[in-house]
Amino acid sequence: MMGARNDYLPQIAEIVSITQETPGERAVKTFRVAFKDKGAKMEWRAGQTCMVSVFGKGESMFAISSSPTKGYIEFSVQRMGRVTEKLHTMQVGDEIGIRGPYGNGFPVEEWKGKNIYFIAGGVGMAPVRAVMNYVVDNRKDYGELHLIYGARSSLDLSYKAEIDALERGGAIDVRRTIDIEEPGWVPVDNKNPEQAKFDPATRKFTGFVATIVTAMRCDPENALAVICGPPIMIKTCIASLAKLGWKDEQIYTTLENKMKCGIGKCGRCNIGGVYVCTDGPVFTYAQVKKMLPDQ
Amino acid sequence: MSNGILRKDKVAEALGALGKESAVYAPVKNKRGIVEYRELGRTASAKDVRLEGKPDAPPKAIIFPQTEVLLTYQRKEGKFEVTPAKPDEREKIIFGVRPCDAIGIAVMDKVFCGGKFTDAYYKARRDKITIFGIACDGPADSYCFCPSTGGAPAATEGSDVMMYDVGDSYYVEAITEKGEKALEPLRNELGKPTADQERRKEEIVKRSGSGEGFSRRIPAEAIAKMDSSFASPYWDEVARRCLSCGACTYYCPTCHCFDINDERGGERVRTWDSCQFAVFTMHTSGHNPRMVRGQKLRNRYYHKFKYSKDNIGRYLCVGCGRCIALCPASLDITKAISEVK
Repeated sequence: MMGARNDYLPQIAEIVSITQETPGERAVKTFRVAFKDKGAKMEWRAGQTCMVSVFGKGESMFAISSSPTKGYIEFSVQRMGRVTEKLHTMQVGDEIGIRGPYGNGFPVEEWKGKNIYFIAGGVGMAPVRAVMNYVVDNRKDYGELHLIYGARSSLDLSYKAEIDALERGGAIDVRRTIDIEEPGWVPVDNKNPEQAKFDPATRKFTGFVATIVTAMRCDPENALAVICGPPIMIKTCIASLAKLGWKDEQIYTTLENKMKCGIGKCGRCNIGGVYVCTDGPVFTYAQVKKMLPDQ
Repeated sequence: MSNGILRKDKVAEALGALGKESAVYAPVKNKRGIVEYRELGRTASAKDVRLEGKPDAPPKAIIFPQTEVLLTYQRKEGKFEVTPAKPDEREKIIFGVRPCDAIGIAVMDKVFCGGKFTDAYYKARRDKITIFGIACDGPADSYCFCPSTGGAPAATEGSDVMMYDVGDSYYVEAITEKGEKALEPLRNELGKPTADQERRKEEIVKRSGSGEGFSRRIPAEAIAKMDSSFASPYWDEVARRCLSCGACTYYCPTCHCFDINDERGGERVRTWDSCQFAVFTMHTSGHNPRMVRGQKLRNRYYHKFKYSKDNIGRYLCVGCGRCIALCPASLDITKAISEVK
């Protein structure tokens, strides 16, 4: 039979729980899965990805949204296309396929001793959740922790109970923000974030994520930032951090592109000569800047 | 390594001898006048083999089929079972491969078997394939430019056995151990070369090294200039004529991009894809990082001459010129790169 390991062969996994994170047409659900083969094991680093098979529909690449410290595998998936629409109709006990993990993951070892700002927008919270939980579970190795998490409305924020619990436990300073004002969510002027009065007691804002980054005056001293979310959010947050004196090397983000193989062969996820599937998805902004403007 | 002389009127017999132990593929002219590789004894016979000139299509589909089942999935009592497809494990010989195409296979080996991951399906098939190359003597046709891409008319890279046209015969020489073994069934077919045949072969090798006689070329300076031309509007200009038909990628010996889809009936199938197609890089959200023709064509050229050089240490172009010959809009890769602004 074949000599080399067959990287295209998925392991069958059963959906063991489903959490409806957000409602609506573009809902996000978190699927916890367990391999059918009890001997099957997967070791991964926060930030790595898996190719998920919905048999008959195809495969899609998702970030693993659970931390390796938790001992379970979860994917948080937004209902978007053919594979994810089918996935969203699936029930506990249904079977999917998983191959991976792929990609580099976050360099959490290098981050020891640093203050970390986790900055996420929408379903971009999925990889951030994985690395944030990893860091919280190794709390003593890291400095101050902050989460700035934005979504369109309060209903569009995922992992509510989990993040509330982390906040209550004092492990991490959490700021949430939404686009359209709701009662109890304090508006911040998106046009003049520098002038904004930032009340440390305020936890819920109305304003862009980048606005909160500026208003909070995130401190670059012995710190790093992890930014995941829609391209426009990443761009504006990086601009906010740059104005606050952050260096490109201190800013981490994850990139995504259409993928088919996950192992650097199918030729479509490249940005210039960089393959997001194998070289990424985690890059520093310094690395992103060096890439050809091919995105 | 052993060598010998194969008379041209004995080629069909030699193919018959090789065919006893391996499936043999060789260039054959089809009904529409296109020369392409066919399996002898199956869809063509040894007498149809045409060893003159460069085949219209490279032997890519033999090492990397246009469609290939990767696995099957079946639902049994609500549970899924996945079975990997069995690779075609027959021993195969590809006979009469031009040096550009043989180098193309060597480049594909680097793509599929190099780096962090080895493609198990490619490797299982490839390990059973032996390449009988055939040297050119100068350009095979007016589209050739192999010396610009690190090749040569009589380059042996990628070939296990090399054949040289020395008049009424081929001078046959094993290049690799695999080739040495492949020549065993021909022991009775191969004669001893005469001094004149030795001399003729040496002359082909010598002329090959000179790189002379090629009207098309890509200067190294032009490739170097691409480093600072990525953002140039030049690429949009070049691509204005492009129809995004993908013919260049399908006929390219080294274009290897593929798609994977689940088909009805429980098969997961890999198919050739093309970076020139509209949805190649389109995200589910509708965002497409390479949407317009200029971006797509530029990606192809940069992949060929820059990214692959950085990633696998060589160009992803072997100078066969098929993309020039077959482009319905007369796009010419040698011109496009040479005139980069």
